[in-house]
Amino acid sequence: MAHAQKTSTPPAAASPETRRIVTGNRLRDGVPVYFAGDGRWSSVVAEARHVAAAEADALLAEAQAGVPPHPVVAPYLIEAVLRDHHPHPLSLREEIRAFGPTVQAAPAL
Amino acid sequence: MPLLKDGRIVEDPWRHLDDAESLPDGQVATVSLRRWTAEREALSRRPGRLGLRLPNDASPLALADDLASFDLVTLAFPRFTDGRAYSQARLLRARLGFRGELRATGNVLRDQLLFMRRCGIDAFEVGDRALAEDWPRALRELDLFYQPAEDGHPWIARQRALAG
Amino acid sequence: MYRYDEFDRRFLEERVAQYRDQVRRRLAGQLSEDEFRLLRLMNGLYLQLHAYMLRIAIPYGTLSPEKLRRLARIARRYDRGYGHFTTRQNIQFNWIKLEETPDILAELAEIEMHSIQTSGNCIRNTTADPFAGVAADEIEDPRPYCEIIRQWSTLHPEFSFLPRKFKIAVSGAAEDRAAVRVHDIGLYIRRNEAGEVGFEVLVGGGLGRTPIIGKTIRPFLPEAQLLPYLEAILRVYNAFGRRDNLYKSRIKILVQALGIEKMRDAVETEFAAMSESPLTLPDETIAAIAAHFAPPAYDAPAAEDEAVLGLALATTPALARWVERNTAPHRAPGHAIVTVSLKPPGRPPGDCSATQMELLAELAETYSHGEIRVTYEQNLVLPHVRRSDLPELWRRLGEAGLATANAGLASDIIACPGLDYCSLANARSIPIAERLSRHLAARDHEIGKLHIKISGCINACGHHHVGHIGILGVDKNGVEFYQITVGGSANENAALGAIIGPAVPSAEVTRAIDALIEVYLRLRRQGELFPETCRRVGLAPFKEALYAPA
Repeated sequence: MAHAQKTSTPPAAASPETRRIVTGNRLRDGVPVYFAGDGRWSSVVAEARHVAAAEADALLAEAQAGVPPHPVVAPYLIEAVLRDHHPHPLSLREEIRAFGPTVQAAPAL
Repeated sequence: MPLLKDGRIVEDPWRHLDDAESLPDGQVATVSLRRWTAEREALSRRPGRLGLRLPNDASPLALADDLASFDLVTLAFPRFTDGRAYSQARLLRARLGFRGELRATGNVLRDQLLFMRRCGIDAFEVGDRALAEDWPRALRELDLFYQPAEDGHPWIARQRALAG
Repeated sequence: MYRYDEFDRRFLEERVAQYRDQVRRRLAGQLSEDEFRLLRLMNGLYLQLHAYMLRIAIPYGTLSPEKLRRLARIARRYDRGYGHFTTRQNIQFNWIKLEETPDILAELAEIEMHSIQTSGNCIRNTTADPFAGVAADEIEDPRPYCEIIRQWSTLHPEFSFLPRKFKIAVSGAAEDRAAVRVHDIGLYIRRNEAGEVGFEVLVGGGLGRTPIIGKTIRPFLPEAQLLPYLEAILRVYNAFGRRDNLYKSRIKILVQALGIEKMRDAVETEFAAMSESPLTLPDETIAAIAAHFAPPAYDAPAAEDEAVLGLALATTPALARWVERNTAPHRAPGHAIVTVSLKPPGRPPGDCSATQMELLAELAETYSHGEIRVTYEQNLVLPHVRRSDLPELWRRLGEAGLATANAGLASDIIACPGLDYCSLANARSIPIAERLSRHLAARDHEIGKLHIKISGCINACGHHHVGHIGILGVDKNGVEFYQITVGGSANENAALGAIIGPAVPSAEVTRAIDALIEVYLRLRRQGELFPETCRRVGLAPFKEALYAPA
C-alpha cells in the first residue's frame, strides 16, 4: 500500500533502549511477517513480540524453531522503537517492508 | 559412501587412499593427483584397477597421456554452486576420450544430476541415502536439451534433423 | 519473430513440470531454502522486500500481441495489475506468491514464454538492438544470432554454475543501441572485405562495483564459429573466474587480472581445440532461423501520404513534437520506428499497467504488423509503423498516457526499482526519478538529448555508470545520499561517468542536477551532447557548480 511520501529522517542511534523484533518473508507468498510469539507470525508489525537487546538471540531461536517446512524464510532480528507501546521499525528499509513502497504503483489506468 | 550408478543405488567398491596409505596389488583404489604425480612410474605399472581423484582446479588436459591408467576419475563439487568440474567432465569425455567411470563427489544436488550426466558424469556419490531414493527418477525427468552432450542422448538440433 | 516448434514447446513443458515438483518439495520441507534458492533463481524468482518477484524473459526484447495480452492477464490474476520493464529488456512482476508460480510458468509456456535463467550464475537473457531488422543504419539483423545464442545457452549443462552471472548483447547497426561494450560478451556484427558476415567479439565489459568497458578479443569471427567461440570463452571463465569473492567473480575481473592478451591466448587455444565442434553453424541453420525474422510485407506509401502527414504536423504542434522526438528512420519507405515512452513525468519509469498492455497489443496489431519490442532504456518500440498512421497512433497512445514526447530527453530517465522494492538496494531510486522527471519535463526541448540514469545500489541495474548524468543511491548511517557522476555513455563510444564530488542528500538532488544542466547549456557547442561537452571542458566547471560555496 502506498503511504505518504517519506523523507529520510535520521534514525535514533542504535542503543540498548531500542527493542528487538524478528521478521522474515512468509515462505508461500513472500509477505513480510513478524514473530508474535507462541509460534505465531503476523503481517502487522505492531503485533510483533518485542524484547530488549539482551533477549534478542533467545527470541530469534524461538522464532526459528520448528520442523521443516518452516513457514518463514530466514528469520532475522531488527531494531524497533516503541510508538504508543507498539513496535515500529527503526530503519527505512524495514519501514518500507512493513508499510509498503513509498511510491504509487504504475499509472492510474 | 553409496553411489548412484546405472540407475540404482549401489555400494562403492573402491577404496580412497590417503597419500601415505599402502596400495596393495589388486586393491581397487583411488589416489590423489599429488600421489599420482609423485609415483607415476610405479603406479602405472601396478596391475589392477586404479582411480584418480581430480581436484576441481586441475586441468584435465595435462593428464591426456595418463588417462589410460585409470578406470575411474572422481570429480569434486566442494559446494553445489562451484561448477568447475562440469567443464572438467566434458573435456575428459569429449576432448580426451576417457571411457572409464566419471564420478561426482561432494555437494551434489538431485536437481544437478542431469546437468552432470549431460557433461559425461555417469556415477554420483550419494550423501543422504534416504533422499537419494528419488535420484534415479531425477535422471529421467527431462529428455529434451538444446546442447550436444556426452551422454549419448541426441540434442534438439539432432532430433530436428531426424524429424526432417 | 521466432515461433516454437514441437521441440521448443515440449522443452518448456518438461521444465514447467520439473519446476512444479521443485516447488512442491520446497513447500513440503524436502528442500532447504539454500538448495531451493538455486533452483528458483534459475527460473527468475527472487525474494524481495514485499513478496517474490518474477522476472520473465523477453528474448532480445521481442513481444507479440498474444504475449503482451498474456502478460496483462498475469498482471491482473497474479500481481497488482502492472509490470515493470527492465534494463535487460525483460519484465518483472513485484507481488508474486511462490505457491502460484508453477501456474504462472504454465500460463507463460502456453504462449512460448518463460523465466528461465533471468537470474542466477548462468547465461542470462541475450539482449539486442530494439531497432533490429528495421533501422536505417543496420548492417545485419542481430535477432537470428540472438535466437541461436538463446537456445544454445538455455540450461547449458556445463555453464549453469558459473562463478557469477553472464550477460551477452548483440548489435548489428552503426549506432549501438544495446550497450554492447558493457556486457560480459559483446558482439558487433561486421562484414569482412569479402562481404562475409561475422562478429567483432568483445569480452569483459560490465557495470556494478567495478565498471569496465569491454575489450576486443577477436576483431572478426566468421558467423559459423559463433557458438564454438562463445563456448571457448565460457569454458575459460568457468575454470578460472574467481569464486572466493562475490565482488570479484565476473569475467571482467578475470580479463583485468590476466590482461587481454593472455585472455585471448587462453580462449584461442581452447577454440582451436574445438575445430570440429557440432556447434559450428551450417548456413542452412542460420538461414532457417533467420527466416523467422523476415520483414513483414510493408505497404508502399501512397503519393499523398507525406503531404497529409505534413498538414497534421503543421496543425498539431504536440503531434509534431512527438514525431520529432519519438520516431526514428526506417529502412522501408514511408515507415517509421516509434518509441512508446513509459516515462510519464512524475511516475515510476518503465512501469506499464495491464490496461496499457492490452491497448498496446491492439495497437501493435493495427499499426505495427503485430510486433512490439522492449528497449534496455525501459521504453517500448512499435517497429513497423506507416508514417501516414502516426497521427492516429499518437492519438490512441495519448488516451492511455503513452504518448509522452520525451524519448532520449532529460525526463526519459532510467531507474532501477531501488529500495522501494529491492532487497539489495541501499536507497530509493523511483522517488528521485519521479521528482526529476516532473521538474525537467518542461525543459526537455530546451535541453535536448540527455540520459539520466539512477541506481539504488552498486549493482547498477539502473546503469548509472553509463548515464550522461548518473545517480547512485548510497546509505550513510541510515540516511539516503546520492553520488553523482557525469560524462558516461552507453553507445559505441561507451564511457564510464566520473564521480564529481561527495554524495548529496536526497533533498539536494534536484538542485544538483539543475546546476549540472546549467553548466552544460552554458558551455555546449551547437549539437554537442552532454558527454562530449564533459570531455571538451573537463570536470572542473561541473564540480564548481555543484560544490562551490554559494
